[in-house]
Amino acid sequence: MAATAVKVIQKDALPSWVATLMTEAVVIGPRRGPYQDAQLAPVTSAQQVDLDYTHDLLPPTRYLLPPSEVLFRFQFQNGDGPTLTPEYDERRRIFFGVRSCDVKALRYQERFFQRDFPDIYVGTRVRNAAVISLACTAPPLPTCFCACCDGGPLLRPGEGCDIQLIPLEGRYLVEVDSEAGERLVAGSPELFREATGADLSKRDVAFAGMDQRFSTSAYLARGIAKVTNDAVPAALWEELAEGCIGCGGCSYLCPLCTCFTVVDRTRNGKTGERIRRWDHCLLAGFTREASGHNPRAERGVQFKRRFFHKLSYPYMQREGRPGCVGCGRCLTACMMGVDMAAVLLRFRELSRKPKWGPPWAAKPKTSP
Amino acid sequence: MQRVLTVCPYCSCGCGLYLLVDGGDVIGVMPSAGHPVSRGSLCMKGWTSFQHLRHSERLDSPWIRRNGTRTRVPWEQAIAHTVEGLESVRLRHGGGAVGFWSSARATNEEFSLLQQIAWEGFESTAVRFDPVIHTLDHVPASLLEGPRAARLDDVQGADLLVVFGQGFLDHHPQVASRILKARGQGARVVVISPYRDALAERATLHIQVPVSDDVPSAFTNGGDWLSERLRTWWGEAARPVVVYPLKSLPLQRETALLGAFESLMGESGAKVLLLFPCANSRGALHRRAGMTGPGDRALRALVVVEENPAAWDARFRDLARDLDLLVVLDLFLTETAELAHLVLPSAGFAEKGGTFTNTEGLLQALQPAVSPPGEARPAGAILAELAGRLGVRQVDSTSKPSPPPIPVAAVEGATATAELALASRAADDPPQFRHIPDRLRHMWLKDTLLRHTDDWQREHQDRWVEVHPEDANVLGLRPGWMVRIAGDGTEFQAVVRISERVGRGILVTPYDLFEGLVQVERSA
Repeated sequence: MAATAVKVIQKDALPSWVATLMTEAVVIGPRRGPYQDAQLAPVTSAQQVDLDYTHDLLPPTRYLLPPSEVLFRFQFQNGDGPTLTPEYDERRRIFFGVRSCDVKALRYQERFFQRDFPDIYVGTRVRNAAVISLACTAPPLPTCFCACCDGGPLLRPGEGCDIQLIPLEGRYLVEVDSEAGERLVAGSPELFREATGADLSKRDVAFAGMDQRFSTSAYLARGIAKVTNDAVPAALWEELAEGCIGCGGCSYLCPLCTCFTVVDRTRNGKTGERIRRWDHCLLAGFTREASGHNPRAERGVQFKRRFFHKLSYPYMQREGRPGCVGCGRCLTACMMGVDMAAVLLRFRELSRKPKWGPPWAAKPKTSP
Repeated sequence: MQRVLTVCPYCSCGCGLYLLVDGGDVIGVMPSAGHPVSRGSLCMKGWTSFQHLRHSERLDSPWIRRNGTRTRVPWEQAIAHTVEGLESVRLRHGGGAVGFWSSARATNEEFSLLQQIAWEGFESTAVRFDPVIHTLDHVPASLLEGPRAARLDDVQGADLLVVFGQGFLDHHPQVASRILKARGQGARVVVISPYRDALAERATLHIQVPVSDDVPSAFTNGGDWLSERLRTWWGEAARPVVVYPLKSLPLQRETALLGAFESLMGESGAKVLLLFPCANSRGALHRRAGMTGPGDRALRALVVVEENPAAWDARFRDLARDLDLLVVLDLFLTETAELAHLVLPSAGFAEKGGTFTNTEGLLQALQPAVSPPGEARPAGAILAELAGRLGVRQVDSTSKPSPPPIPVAAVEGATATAELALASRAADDPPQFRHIPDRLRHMWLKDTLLRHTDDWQREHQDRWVEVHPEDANVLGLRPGWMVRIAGDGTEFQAVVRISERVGRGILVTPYDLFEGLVQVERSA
């Protein structure tokens, strides 16, 4: 399936387009923050949008499942049962310049939260969101490894964006991939022209040999085989987990992580609100049962569980893809260096055999 | 979702974090990727730092205690009562009877205000910032500033690291991370500590010292084979760095150790990273004026800013009950606030401006992202109002005449560190131990982190105590048994773990349990 239309917009015309989009919805676009941090945040002036950004450490999926949100407010009156007032976030949003890996993640979240028990909160946000993605013609950061994970760098038609922008010299190729996308372009027809054959061949040149430009390799397929077949020795899980301090950064910032916990905040025991807040599986309290029994009390087992969810085939089947898009955020967030790429590298070492020599020589090298 | 850059309020590393703000509420936090300390990562303290801000138990209006009952009062009345109370103590007992204590989660600006109120309003030097930092006159300035003072990033670039103490993975994870990264790049890491924790496990060499032993001797004594090896390594190292968390040792031995650092540094050009405990401990060090010991009966009135000494200090509780006026500024109704005549609700770190000084001396700005709940106000605003009512000139802190230096008395308060040998115990006299909390003594964390952060409470439910097998044998303890641990003014029960990771004569407990001199006996 080809994109419905391919157009071109000049780089200097982008602010005008963004200004038009801002009249329709809140535009969540890349801006530059303190310490040169890239942030996908609500744009207040079209000039703020900076498509030469690298990568936002906070994935845009956190707009669908925020770090914490009020699900409903409750009130007890005169001994009656509580009155519940749900709160839905119906703000219209246009995600502008989202990286390909994050688009895949947005669709993963959408699928996850609509599959068995449709989640009204996430569903409402998905329904009110349009996605204009930005393909990567070079890995934005050295930690990127999407090419290993079917996460990018270029989206094929039907992979989840409404419009895909592809940077070429001084201009962007605009691949319109949905009706919503057509409307977003139709709002400012004077800014776009039809793409020519020359534009399209430029695109092909830009992505040729892309796979070779990544400095991080993750060997995802090998990891999937190892984890699915339970071929990772318990000792290795424990060794890896010993490095983990349970901060949760990898999960909070993972665009595919969906876990949350629910807490109530009350005032005087009469009114209050139920909050849904991000949570993660590397905490003992995450799985502790009411009886006090904990099926996953030790870090090693928690660690294994996390990677099992991300990499094992049964989960892939259920979620429609592996649990990693190669965005590389956990490589930044993990101060102890037990991130996805590092773990997959260790799995790869497991099966590396020397070309000759006795079998025990195949043991992974230990650091001096 | 807007992002407001501020500073993590917990350890002294000072990670740059963004408050994620939506609808007037801090809904989460995230690290700054470009910030030189956080570099895109936070520890669990940082990641959960927003959870206490909208806790149900946040104080949202001033309270007054009369005849044993607490009632809400308007701000106007609370301030008037405070001013009257302080003035009346001054008239009857003199300004020196008015004391001010603050925790190291106060900003530099709040410290300065407190100092000005104390000095200009009362000519009182009974000012105390941070229970840990008030006895740091022995720290040589050359180890804090100048070419020998290491920055956090020097740790990662080192080729030999000599690390004192345990628990870095918990109390200063950004330092532990840099130590392990250096190790990964081939640096030699020597850990000198009584407790073999996860970092010591991964060190090139762990020198397990008995806590009662003279730690400096392991470092400087020529005869010891370990220090011989250390000396050789030291000679081979091009970029050696020493990491030492301040207040890990009793005053005298710490002074000796820091002296040893100084002479070593002079010879080899090595660098030293002195770690302060709390977010603004270093700021407190620069701004403290003097202090009055907790048992000082000369005090008749006390203003406590976001500190909770009543939780761990029995002597403080006695002092507090005896005061004519105790005013407590805090976010929660702490043990100290329970004893107060007046409780003034103050703002959390995300609700106020100001600056923190991190352990390297980096001055960083806090930014208010949301308003405090109800009528709560930033401590700085409350103090400024008090200063105004008391007629204190608010002058630039740099141009202010310094108060006379007060000799630091040998009061180490609740952080007393006596060691007693097991052998000396009589049958009816339970053995006493030196206690090492698994993480540093961030007493002031208790209220925000340990009691009002859901995820932290959920995660740290287990109360355990780790004992050396021989000590367990002497005490007749078995793993999994419940013991009662009694100390200076507090006691608790914990499950016994037996492990050789602990040296003899030491008990290791998690974070939130009492520290100091403890006695152990089996629960009935």
